[in-house]
Amino acid sequence: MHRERTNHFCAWVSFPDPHHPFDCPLPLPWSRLHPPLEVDLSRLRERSFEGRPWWHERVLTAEPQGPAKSVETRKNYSRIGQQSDEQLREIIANTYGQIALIDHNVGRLLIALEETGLAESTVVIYFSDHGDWLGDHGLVLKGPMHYDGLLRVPLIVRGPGVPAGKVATPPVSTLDLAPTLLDYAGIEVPKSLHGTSLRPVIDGNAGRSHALNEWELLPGRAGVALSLRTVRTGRHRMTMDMNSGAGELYDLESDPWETRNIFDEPSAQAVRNDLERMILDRPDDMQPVGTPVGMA
Amino acid sequence: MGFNYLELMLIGHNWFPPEALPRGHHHERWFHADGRGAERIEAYWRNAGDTKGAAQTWHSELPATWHNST
Repeated sequence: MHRERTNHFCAWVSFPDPHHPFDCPLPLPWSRLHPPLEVDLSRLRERSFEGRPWWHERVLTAEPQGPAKSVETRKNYSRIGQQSDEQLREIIANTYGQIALIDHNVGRLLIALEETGLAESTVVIYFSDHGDWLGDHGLVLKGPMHYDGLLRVPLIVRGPGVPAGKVATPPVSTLDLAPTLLDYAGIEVPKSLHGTSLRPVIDGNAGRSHALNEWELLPGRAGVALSLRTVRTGRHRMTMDMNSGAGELYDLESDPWETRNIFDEPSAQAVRNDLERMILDRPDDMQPVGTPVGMA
Repeated sequence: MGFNYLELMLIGHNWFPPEALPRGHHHERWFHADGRGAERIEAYWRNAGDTKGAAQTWHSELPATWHNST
């Protein structure tokens, strides 16, 4: 920031945490900032596959494919059993400590913006790429069970003209971030980008009908191949596997803990049709999936 | 248009312990710069508290100054 204070700049500041391993440092003491006995536990933390689509159980038991080291690591993750309440408190307290450590360091960046005089002309977007189950539905870490704890990530925007303290509730996506930054920079958004600028949501009261998530899951991760499409509206969340046709659909208004899968219920057919249309309306520009780089 | 200076991450997504050069970049380079990286990695793996056997969880003895979130 000091070097670029007289130039236009774009900085992507990527913090690895909060993420497993939950390795929050004790000195200072970040890992004990939130006492385990004081953290909230998920209301629903019993692991059950009843009523869930087939892959929920399969990804926890199938044999991952690929190099031996990768298989071993992946199996270690997917075989993690249901954690006791005492253990979940340790995991959550460490996660909160990790978040606090990041907040502290983001604060240092914001102070640097103030000190360099850049704060008034810099757009800052704080977000995460995914959540963690942290005990929801008896699960920890992350995977192709797209419960709200994984999908709902923080998104905070600060910058010139951004109304302070405003809370916007329409479903949006991290796909919208690049178009948003291009919009702020006065650069035309390429048509190849699927997202759209969030400025009408940030500056005004524009709504959004839904946000999409796509995941082509290869057998290297959990031993199963999935072609997942998730759509999230203000009221519903539906995930479909385009390979098998199986899916899950929850009414988050009446069932915020996602306990009752209504994907195959006749009474939900009209909603399911609407949500399927949202999924299928994406531009037809998907490329073949290549071999993933790394373990993630 | 474009950037005068660009540096890319070579290994991403919560990779620990930090790799020494030539693979390491950014945080890794700084972590090992004074030759005490191995000592810090040992501290990183030490658990300074009881975490009740929780999965993937420990109180790292690595001072926060050297943690990859700092």
